[in-house]
Amino acid sequence: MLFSPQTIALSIVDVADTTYKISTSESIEELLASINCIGLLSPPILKKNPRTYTIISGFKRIAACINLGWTTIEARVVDYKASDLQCARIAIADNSANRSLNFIEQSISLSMLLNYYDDKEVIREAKGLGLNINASLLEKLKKTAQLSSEIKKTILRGTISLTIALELGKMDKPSAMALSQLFESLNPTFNIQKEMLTMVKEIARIKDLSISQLLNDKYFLSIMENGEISRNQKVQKIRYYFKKMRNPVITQFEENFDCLMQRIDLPDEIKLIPPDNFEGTRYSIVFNFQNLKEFEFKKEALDKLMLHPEFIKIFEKEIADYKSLH
Amino acid sequence: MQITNLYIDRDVLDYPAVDAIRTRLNIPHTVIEGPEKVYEIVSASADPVESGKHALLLTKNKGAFIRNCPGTVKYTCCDYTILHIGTFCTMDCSYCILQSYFHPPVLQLFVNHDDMTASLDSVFSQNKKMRIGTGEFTDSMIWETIYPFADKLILKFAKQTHAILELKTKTVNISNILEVSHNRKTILSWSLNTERIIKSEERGTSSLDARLNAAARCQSKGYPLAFHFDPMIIYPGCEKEYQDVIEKLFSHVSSENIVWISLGTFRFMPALKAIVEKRFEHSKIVYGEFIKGMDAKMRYFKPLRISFYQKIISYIRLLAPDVLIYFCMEDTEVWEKTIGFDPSDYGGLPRMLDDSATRHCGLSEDIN
Repeated sequence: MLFSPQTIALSIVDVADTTYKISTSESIEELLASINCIGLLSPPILKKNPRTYTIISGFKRIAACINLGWTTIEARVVDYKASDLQCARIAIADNSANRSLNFIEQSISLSMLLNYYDDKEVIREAKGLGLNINASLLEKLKKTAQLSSEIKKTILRGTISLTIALELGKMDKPSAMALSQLFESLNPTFNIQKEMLTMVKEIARIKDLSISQLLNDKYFLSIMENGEISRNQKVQKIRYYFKKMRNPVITQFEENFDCLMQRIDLPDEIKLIPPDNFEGTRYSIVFNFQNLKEFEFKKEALDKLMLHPEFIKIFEKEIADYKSLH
Repeated sequence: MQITNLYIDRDVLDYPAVDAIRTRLNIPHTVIEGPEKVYEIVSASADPVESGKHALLLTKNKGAFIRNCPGTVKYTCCDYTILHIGTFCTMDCSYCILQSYFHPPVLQLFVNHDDMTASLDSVFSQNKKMRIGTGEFTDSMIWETIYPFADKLILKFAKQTHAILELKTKTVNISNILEVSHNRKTILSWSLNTERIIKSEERGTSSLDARLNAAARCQSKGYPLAFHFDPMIIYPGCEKEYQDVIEKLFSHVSSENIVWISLGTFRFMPALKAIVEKRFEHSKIVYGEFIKGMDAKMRYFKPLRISFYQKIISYIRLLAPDVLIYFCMEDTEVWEKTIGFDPSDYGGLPRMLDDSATRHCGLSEDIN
């Protein structure tokens, strides 16, 4: 492929044609300063058309030059006979040679190649153009390419992980948008996002509702719109709200247990630990002491505990507590 | 589900069962050098579970025909003995553990029946009370439409007095066994569920009415019966629907002819969840209130199980006060809070089941 260096009038460069655009960054501030200071170091690559030029690589450089009031630009021009595939390969190679591409840029690059190659060939071809992609990543990137532009933007902003984005991509658009906005607004950790996503999906299935309907619930909205609590407090309240909807019996049971424990009011440093998930039958009491006097005090507290009616309830009422809930 | 691919292990090509199955299925077959080839084909398909139900492999059981049930020490086990006749199932239940138990799941029938007979002879010669069943890794009776051999097993058990055979099924493939001289050493048992669950979660199985009618026919031929409410699914209104099933059960068969009724709520290895979600889009069974149990399986929250069992047991007791009810894999706390005692008070669950089998099936008391 031969490039011929030419001086091109910017007025005939078709900046609206984004066929070969890979970069997701729109910011040209740094580029403006650099070009203004030392000029255009790397000429963009253009494809000659009968009357205009299509940008293959260098969208931001051209935008910066136009912004600086330039009327012409030094460019490397590809002949009009160059095929779409050849132009796509140039665009990918030029972009990946200068920086590592983010997920969205990789998915755009692969989408270009997938018009011409099957999966196996595309992995090989991408490698030759500077993209290291394996079969598993290829599948993710193919799905990424299908995501809505709004979700792609949240990935780029770092609000949601690719895994979460791909899950959102499987949903109806209003549901995906509602969740995306929830994550955008509360910015929970990726692990909490995953937990919320799973909960919401399952609650929606249980209740035969769409996720967007679920997230339009009055109580949920009241948490989201509450201006008196912090973002972290909102996250905690919403997680608890989801947990209560997903596992009402378990949540209520745990609340009852906590109430009993409060009423028992064990001294500090004595802890009653129930079996995991209340599945086993073995409870533990853990207490710390520093000397014999403290040991005696704790022992007396434990002796009193034996007679505490609420303590006995923990064992005797385990099932009865549930009955009142069901 | 229809078998579309028949694979025959070269080692068993001239076994009598193979010819009979080829003739009966009347589909092209592929001779293979070992089961690995079939595993590869099934694993490579988009839905290996589905593919595994269409591919039948005729092969040898190279391991033990007689095995102990893989229970865990954390929960009370019935100490069942498995007669390993084959694997997987032509029916398609959403909750089926076999979907994630075998890697990949493949319909296999072990045709080295002489070895199976020899294994049984060896067991029988011990003169030890045993409850032996074929329904752990497969449905006991699906094979009757492919290669009927339940009658031979029934006859085999009829000739001894220490062990009973339990044939557990969701089919009504009983025509071949009705007239067999069983000597009450074979218990015909059915898995039961609510009509709603049968319809939504048990693809390709017989209806509740059909199962109960089949049970009644077997009873009329003198067979002792058993029923398994397992897995019971907890959903809104389930108690009433299980009560309806229980009432229907006792309107079809006599409680006096029931050797045991087992109860077990849905439990599953975590890996099954994704399979159910993928293969049974409309199923909600994996969205119950589950916790991770002491055996790492997902189980309904214990207080929920206890409350549910209490109701189910009260419904059964109302109609059949004396029938033996037991739990499959529950702990002492559940037993005590629902049935009212710990099996160890009665010598343990295996002993309780053996005693019931002795009473109903006339097992010999002699134990060497």
